[in-house]
Amino acid sequence: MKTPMDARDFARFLVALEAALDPASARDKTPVHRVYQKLRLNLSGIAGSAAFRAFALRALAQARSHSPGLSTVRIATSGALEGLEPSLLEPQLDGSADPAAGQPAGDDPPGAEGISLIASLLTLLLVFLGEALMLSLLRDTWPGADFEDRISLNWRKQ
Amino acid sequence: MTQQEKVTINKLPTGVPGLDEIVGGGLPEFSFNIIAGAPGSGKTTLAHQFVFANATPERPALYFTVLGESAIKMLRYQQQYSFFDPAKLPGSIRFINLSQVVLEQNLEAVLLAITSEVEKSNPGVVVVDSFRTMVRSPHADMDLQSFIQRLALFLASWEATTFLIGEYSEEELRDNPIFTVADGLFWLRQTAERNSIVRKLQIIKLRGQASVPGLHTFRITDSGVQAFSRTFGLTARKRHATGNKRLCFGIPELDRMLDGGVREGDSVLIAGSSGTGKSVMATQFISEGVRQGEPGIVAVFEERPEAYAERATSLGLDLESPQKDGMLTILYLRPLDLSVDETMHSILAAVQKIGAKRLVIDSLAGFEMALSPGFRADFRESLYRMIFALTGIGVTIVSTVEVDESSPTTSSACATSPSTASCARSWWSSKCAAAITPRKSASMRSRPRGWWCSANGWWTIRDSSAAFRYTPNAHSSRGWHRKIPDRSSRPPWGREAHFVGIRRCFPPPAPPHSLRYRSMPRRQDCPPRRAGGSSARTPGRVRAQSPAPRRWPNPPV
Repeated sequence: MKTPMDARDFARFLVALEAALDPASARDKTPVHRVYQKLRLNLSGIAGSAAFRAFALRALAQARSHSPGLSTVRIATSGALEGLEPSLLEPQLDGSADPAAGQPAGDDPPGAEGISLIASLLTLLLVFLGEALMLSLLRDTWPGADFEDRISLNWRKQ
Repeated sequence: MTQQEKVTINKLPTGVPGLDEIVGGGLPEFSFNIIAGAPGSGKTTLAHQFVFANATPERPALYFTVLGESAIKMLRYQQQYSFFDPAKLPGSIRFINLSQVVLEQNLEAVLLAITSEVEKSNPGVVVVDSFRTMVRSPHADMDLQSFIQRLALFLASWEATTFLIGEYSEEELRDNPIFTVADGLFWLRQTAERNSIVRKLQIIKLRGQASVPGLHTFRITDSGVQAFSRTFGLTARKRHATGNKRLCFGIPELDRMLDGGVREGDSVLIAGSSGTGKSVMATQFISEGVRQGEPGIVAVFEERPEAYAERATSLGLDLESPQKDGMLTILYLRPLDLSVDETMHSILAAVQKIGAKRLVIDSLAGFEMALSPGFRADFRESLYRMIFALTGIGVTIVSTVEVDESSPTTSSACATSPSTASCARSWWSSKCAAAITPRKSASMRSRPRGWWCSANGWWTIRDSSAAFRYTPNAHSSRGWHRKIPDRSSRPPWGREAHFVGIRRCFPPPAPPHSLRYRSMPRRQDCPPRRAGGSSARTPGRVRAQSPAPRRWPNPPV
């Protein structure tokens, strides 16, 4: 049994996973960007790009309330992220819990904006699809990754 | 062509309880099917059940969503059903959205997208939900029939069993070329009848095998769609061979009049006005069965099982212990929108669970009231099917029905609704073995009412020595129990039961003037026949009775 994670920790876990899987491509796209892209492609295939874009817009709106730095980010018609500043997407990947969680806006550490966006997207997925189905989709996106028992039940309260 | 040369069409489980029976054992493999119906009729849920029942990692299912319900919301709702297994996604079941292609391109592109995905995945099952919305796309320049034709050819070649889901109204069923392409056409209907919803399923066509014709009730529950075949799932079962076994009531005089009891596999109706003890008599029948090691079912509609058992306890009949021992099940069926088929399903499940030999339905009027208004019109026909099916598996049935004895006319004699009364008449004319009418009448001389008597084989027993009664005191302790030994001592408030008649389908009934008391195998548990007296009957002895004048009217048809 692993320690349950909250949404931000889980987002951080996915970003770290992506960074470890494909470090060579880090120069082109940040791990946060690649996590977002993988989620986009998977969900767009299932629900359509329009449905994914609607989800992404909602996730972005929620993330902005915690991370004002995301105000410049836009979601394209295809669901892709636009207007990104690389600094917003370079999180600390030391595995510790995000100290900015629940703190006033503006106190985020560098790179926390990207984590916040991914966390909001995952939270929406959890709300709509439930834990079992969301994990099934994540396992399909990151085969071999161990997601068991990582989701904290208090995600929805965030 | 010999049997060996015929191609074998494998049948796939539908995943819908009851539907396999309806479609003739399962859905033909590689068939191209259409599920049609109005919005909310359960089309998507039915398709999901099939998908989850058949998808495997080797032969996955591809579920194409087009315009309409969002796939995310579809998954959100569908996972509420118990058949939904998240572990099958996305390995065995893949959802693919084609809305972009439909909106921005044409049907040719849609066909290309589907064929591309099929070639990649080699699916065993393909669903397009909803293909109807593609026609309404502004770019749907290709003829829909052509699209369906090509899609059907392609998917059959790829050995995929296919479902197309579409919203259709009843009017569109005729002269629709789309339906000619399909191998199977499943039509789901949903109609509001007064305050309840009636859902029915019809297999309009199914190539390659025989399906059960007609409209079948279905319900959508937490387990998904559940269908109730009109044949109650008993088509493959042989009818139970009935012998000469008799099932006692535990009421000595009545059992004596019935030649030892009700013949196994018969159905008996206890008719009488309110408060005459119909339920008590039925309870004694079930209690006596338990005592003799014959498990029983009581289907109650007008009171809770606890109250039913408590009332039996007040009569000195223990229904609590048999329930704990698995010898008795009291079913409470009163959701007010039942169908007979659902009721039958519940009763059959209980019968099979405890191996029931006796069934009490208390009462027919309550049964009818528990049905959805839309099913009451079919009550007579449905009841006939139910009785035929239950007696066919060897269950002996005792039902109660309330009739109003205050009216001498046939048409107004029934306190129940006209359809229940009609049912009761149907009962006699089709399957009835005996009718017993407890009456409040103070006089034994009064002729039993002839409401149920028909000209084709009814007679009465008016032998006072064969009558019996129970008093209020006796009712509270022992229920129906004894004959009236001395008519002069009978209190005016006593209740009496006239054994009105007995008729059998097989062999044909004897003429009324030659009522036969045939011999019955004497059973240790059954009451011994009376010896001596004016009305004594000896086993094997044939006793004739003067023909009774037929003054009562025949039941209306």
